Amino acid sequence: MTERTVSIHVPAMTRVEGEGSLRLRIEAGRIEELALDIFEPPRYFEKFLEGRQYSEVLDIVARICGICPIAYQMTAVQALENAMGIEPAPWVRAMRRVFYCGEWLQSHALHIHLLALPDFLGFDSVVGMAAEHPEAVRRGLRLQGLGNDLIRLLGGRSVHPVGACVGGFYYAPTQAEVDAMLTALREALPQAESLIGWIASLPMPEDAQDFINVALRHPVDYPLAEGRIVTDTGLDIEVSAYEAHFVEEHRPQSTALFSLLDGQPYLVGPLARLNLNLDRLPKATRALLDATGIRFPSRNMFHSLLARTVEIHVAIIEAIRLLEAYVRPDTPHVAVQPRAGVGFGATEAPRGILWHRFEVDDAGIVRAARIVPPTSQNQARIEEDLHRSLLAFGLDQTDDALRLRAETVIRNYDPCISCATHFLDMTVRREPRM
Amino acid sequence: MIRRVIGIGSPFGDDAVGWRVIELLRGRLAPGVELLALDRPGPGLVTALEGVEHAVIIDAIRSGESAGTLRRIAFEALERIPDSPSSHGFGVAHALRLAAALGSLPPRLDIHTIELGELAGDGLSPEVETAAQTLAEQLADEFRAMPTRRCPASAG
Repeated sequence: MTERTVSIHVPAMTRVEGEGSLRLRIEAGRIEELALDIFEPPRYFEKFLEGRQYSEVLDIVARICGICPIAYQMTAVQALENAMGIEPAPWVRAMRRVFYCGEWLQSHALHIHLLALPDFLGFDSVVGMAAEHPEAVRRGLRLQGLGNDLIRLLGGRSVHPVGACVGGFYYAPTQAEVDAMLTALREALPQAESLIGWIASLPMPEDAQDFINVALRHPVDYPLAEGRIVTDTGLDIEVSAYEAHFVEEHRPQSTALFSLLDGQPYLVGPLARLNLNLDRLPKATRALLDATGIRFPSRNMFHSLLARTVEIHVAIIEAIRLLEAYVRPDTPHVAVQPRAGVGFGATEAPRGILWHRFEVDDAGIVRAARIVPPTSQNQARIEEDLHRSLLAFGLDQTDDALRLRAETVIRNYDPCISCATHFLDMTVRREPRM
Repeated sequence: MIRRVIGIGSPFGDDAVGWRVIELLRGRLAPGVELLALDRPGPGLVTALEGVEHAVIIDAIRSGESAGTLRRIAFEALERIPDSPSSHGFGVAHALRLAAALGSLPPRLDIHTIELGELAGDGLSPEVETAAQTLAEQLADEFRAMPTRRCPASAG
């Protein structure tokens, strides 16, 4: 019962990206302490970038993350082009979106199948899950592989790709390469459709929570590589106005920064994107989502998993649409004339809004850089969610059950601690009621 | 029967040795033996093993031996490597365990490791280059000694 003292310490969270821990102390049936400790060292990328030529930046920021290098490249390129007054050609904008679709596909497929699903199906890891759900795991791996192929088409390779540059791409794929990719994408579409139905059929904990959704919004398309920053509380701002509303603060237990919107925690990522952009879904995707019977906007954080499957479908549909209109250009990038300026960039990384500010001098040398990754924006929201979710779950549950629920709640955000540092180990202490 | 030699690596120093062995084997194996160089495939290695009946995997390793040390290791030896806490660290051992759980491990799987020295720089260190050449020779000899089997016309 709730009379006991519970002290749970998860010293190193598994199935998340990077290193962090959780401390939970329950006294007399109340949560007295709950803290997400991020102890990966700060990584100083913002400082590494100072003094570097604009042309080196995309190769450097790609190293911030092995899972979402394109998010970093596409946000940095937007900020640098904004700073130097470069307008990318329509072909470049379309191909950046295709490139980014590849990253959503591989990152979401990886999170769903390797990191999150074992929680919902009752396995310790994907290896145990694979023995009972081999076809589902194979489908996940195929979708992830397709994402990597799409990244390779424009990036040259799938790990830390090298194809993008300020002004466009170094290389434009041949029509034959694009045709082969289109065939693979069309073949994968039924797999993405069946994935949505399957994930929607899994029992999820019911817990409606109140939170602020923050995502990009594009005039026509589902947000990916560009858009304005909007919330469901009425904020609608240019990317350059981010710092006037969103503030990062240090907390002693964490080397990541906690972001707040006008003093409040907020949510970025697939659920926030979907909640704010239902009217921007491709028609076929919207029909599949409606057929699940699950209503969006949703206040159930566990619907993030379903949102990721929806976005896998969006990524395939969008890549097909854009590649069907492919025409190989004479030159895949515009010439860059460096000039001094301050520029801003924001894109939708698989885990949510990634925001950059770059200041360059007239020789194109970076003088200052600021990078705000999605996981640090979600950190305050994760703590708030943990608090609510554990109360809703019941503090008189066993330590093991509490630990698993806490880990499930955290993993549901697909936190990338490696990106955010600048993540889990869980300690629960239960003290008796005196 | 699909036979595939897979060199795993990255562009960093001696970690590229898996790719180097593939390069050294080009044109030296019977037609039909596929050569594949993979860049840190993570779970993608499972897909690369689907439907393969004989796979050879070559990867750099750090085990405390001297640089260039060649070893042939059994799949079972990899089962002692603990599960990775993060998908950033989803390595060859985990991918092979996942393939085994899916029932897609090739019936014949040879795993060759080369102890790496330097991870910095563009090229291989001399000891590791020598080891790559030794392993390529050894694999070419092994494949030459293997009968080239053809699928019966009725298959597939």
